[in-house]
Amino acid sequence: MTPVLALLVASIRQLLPLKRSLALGALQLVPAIVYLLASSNRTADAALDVFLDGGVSTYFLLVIPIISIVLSSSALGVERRDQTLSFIVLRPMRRTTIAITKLVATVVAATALHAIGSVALGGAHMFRFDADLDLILGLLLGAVVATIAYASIFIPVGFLTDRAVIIGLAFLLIFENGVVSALSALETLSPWRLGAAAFADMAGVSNDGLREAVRSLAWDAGRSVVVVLAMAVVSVAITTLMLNRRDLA
Amino acid sequence: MTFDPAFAENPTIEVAGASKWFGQKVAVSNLSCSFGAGVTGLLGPNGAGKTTLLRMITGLASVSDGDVSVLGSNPRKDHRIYHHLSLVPDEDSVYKEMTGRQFIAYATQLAAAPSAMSVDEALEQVAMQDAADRDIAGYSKGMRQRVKVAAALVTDPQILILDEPLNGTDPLQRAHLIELFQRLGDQGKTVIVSSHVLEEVERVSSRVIAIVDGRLAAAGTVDAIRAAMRDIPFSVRIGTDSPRELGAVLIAAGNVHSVEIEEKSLLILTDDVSQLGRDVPRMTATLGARFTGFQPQDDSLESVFRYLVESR
Repeated sequence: MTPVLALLVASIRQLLPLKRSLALGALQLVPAIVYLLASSNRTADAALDVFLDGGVSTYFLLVIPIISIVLSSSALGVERRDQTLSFIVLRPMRRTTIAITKLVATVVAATALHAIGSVALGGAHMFRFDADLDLILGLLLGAVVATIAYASIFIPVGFLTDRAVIIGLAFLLIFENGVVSALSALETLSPWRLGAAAFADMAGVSNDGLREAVRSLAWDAGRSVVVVLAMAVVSVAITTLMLNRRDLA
Repeated sequence: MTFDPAFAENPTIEVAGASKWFGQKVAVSNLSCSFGAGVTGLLGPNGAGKTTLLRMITGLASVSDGDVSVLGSNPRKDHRIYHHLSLVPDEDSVYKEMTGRQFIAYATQLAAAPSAMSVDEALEQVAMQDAADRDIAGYSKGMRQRVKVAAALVTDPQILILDEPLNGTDPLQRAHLIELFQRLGDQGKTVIVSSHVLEEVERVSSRVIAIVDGRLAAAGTVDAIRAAMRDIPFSVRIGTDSPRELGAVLIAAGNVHSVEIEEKSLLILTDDVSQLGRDVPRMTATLGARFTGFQPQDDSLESVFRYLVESR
């Protein structure tokens, strides 16, 4: 096994211990449950509105951010808290490699969980109304896009402080759902909106609620991907700088 | 040409006027020394700056002033030195969810190069074969120490740095680890073992570097350190109802450095505590005074080292 693969596998295992996996996996089912409860006895068009306003909004506004913030904060935060950071940094491996691997591990771990939510939510609508498979793929793409953005922000934050999850929730509630809602020019800095925009493009579905949420992000999915990849590059640079410059425990 | 015992021949690690401060607190102050093949004990009381020095050597901490080089490279800038250097930190830097075997295997996987030693051999070196497949979470402190040593050894490093590696080990484990460190030193590896216990360092190594308050206190063989300690004047508090009279007699006898008169006692500075212990009861009896106590004040390692720093 190569050093990078070893670090990747160990990091994913560290991010997804059994109890956390079960808890976050259960959380992934919430949007599908909300959708199924709210859409019973509805027509296909009405159910699509419930799917977007209830299921998709719960998924992108609540489930994806919470899971992504928790996992991102842990990526380097757990190593720092458990004092194992010295174990990985005192290896013949560039700190950039460590930063990239931790980011990839976070995205892989989160995507594994988001696959449950995407299949459950997308599948619930797809099988009832014979919708396109792109619904599930769009949800998954949107989840990955949002996760990369959250990871880019909260891996460095988790490295710096034990309160990264609290800061993340404040970011979600105050910045994303407060400030950005008022100032649409800042929408590119809102991870869940980037994800939702990618979903809307790939799945080819939208309604007033979704369009209102991602007003200036009516882009194609490719542009959302480019934005989050740029965020990832900046994040890796910042994390590498901190790993190189700061005194490490 | 004089030989400074703080410096090793053919050093692998060189510390040149290194200082480290955290805000207003100076952890290491203008420290110069070097380390070469064999085992060197890094001795000093808790808080002396041992861990900070080791963290600067490994590159975990930056150097505020001065230089630290390992195999000719700056450990903060050249990650390739970690092919040749391993650290066993004082803290429990282990993955508790892994088994001992997984932890050591992880160390080999991260090392990038083929290991000279198998995981089983590393486990054998620290006598941990029986517990190898148990989760580290269930290990005792001594077992965690040993599995950390095994994880450091498995990559066969040229330089092995161990921060208080004997903490939490029982006498049998301690003897085993000491024998292991000595064997590695005999193989020509640079082994640094830090401890705050002189007797522990004495058992591990013949060469000692002692630091206190972040400064070099003494360096050389354990015998030389002990000799330096023998020359230190010790402070003793003597309880008596006639401190002034007893003080005058002690000064007249000439075997004390100084006398400080207190209300019901004397604070004496002397080179020979045991002689003073013999003289004082006789003197108080001659004076017809009461002798109520004899209490050495500063026989701790810290105070001894502090004196050595001040006298350098």
